[in-house]
Amino acid sequence: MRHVGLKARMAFVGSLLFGFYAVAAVVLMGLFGESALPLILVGSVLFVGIQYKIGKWAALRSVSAEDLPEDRFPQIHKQVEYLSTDMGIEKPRLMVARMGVPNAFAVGRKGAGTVVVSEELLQLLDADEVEGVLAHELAHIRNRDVVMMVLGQGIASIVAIAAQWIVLLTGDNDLADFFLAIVVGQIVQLIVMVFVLAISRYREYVADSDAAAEVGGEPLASALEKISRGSERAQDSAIDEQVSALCIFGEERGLLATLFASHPPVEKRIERLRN
Amino acid sequence: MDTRTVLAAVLGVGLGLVLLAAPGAVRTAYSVGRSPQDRRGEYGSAERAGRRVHSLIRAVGAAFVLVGLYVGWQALAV
Repeated sequence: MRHVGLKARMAFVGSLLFGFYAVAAVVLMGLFGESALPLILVGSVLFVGIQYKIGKWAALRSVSAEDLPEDRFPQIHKQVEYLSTDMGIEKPRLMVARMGVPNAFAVGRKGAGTVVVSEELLQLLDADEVEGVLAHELAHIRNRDVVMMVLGQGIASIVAIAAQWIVLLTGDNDLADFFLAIVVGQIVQLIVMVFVLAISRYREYVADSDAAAEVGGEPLASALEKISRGSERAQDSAIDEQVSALCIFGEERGLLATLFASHPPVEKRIERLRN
Repeated sequence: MDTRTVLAAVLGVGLGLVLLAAPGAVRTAYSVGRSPQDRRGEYGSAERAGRRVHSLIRAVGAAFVLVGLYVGWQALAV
């Protein structure tokens, strides 16, 4: 069975999230009556669906991504076609963007996926390394990672909204109650997101593993190493203001940063890919 | 002293301090599922927001702390 570890983790976290959602739904029904259930269910689906659509559109627009021309990048198109066929998914839309740093990301779902690579990544990495990166992004699409994260965030938001309503409707509607409702909502959302982010980190490892199964571990490990070496050199330089602006107050290594990280540490990913 | 008011003050200040201390972590928590986490920054790392977003989160954190302190002061004054 593929991805036994992921399936087990998804079952555990999925049950927890469903539990959170069920409690929120029951409480809302208690507050607004049983007839509110269809509204809650339809509202939840719409909420997540709209978030998914807007998120995809906004992500592509924010980097001004354009279609990757096949005549200029025939090898990349061929690589993606081959990898997609091997992974049992439709070839996603390929786009390129000038992001200022070597980067790539995937949005969408199986059958309607998009992979965006930065010009800087294509310039920095060799063909094998690019293939490793593409395999990783295609794995995200195949494993429905984008959809899962949208669902997780959606459930966290719905539970937070329910918690806010509970506080509001059981209080005296003064400033303290209103403030308590907001604070409780945000704290509940953050607590639920701890579980969602734990899954996000694990899914990165799974995508690495799937990429390694397709093209071997070394291309992606080499790509990650090359990019992080470039990043370290830039951070050592006092000239690179943009990069230094991204490294803020060393919080990346704190407990909160660890709990709320969406990606595992690069060094650990490289180590796993090479073992 | 009203329990809910005390809770509002304590939780409000606590949440505000978290936003002040770890704006990046908070930003990640709110953006996962809404935007690709690897859209900015180098490939392989989580998205990192710029100084402006962090400043905004810290400003919200400061506001939570101030309102929490005010609510707490109101609770003590009663």
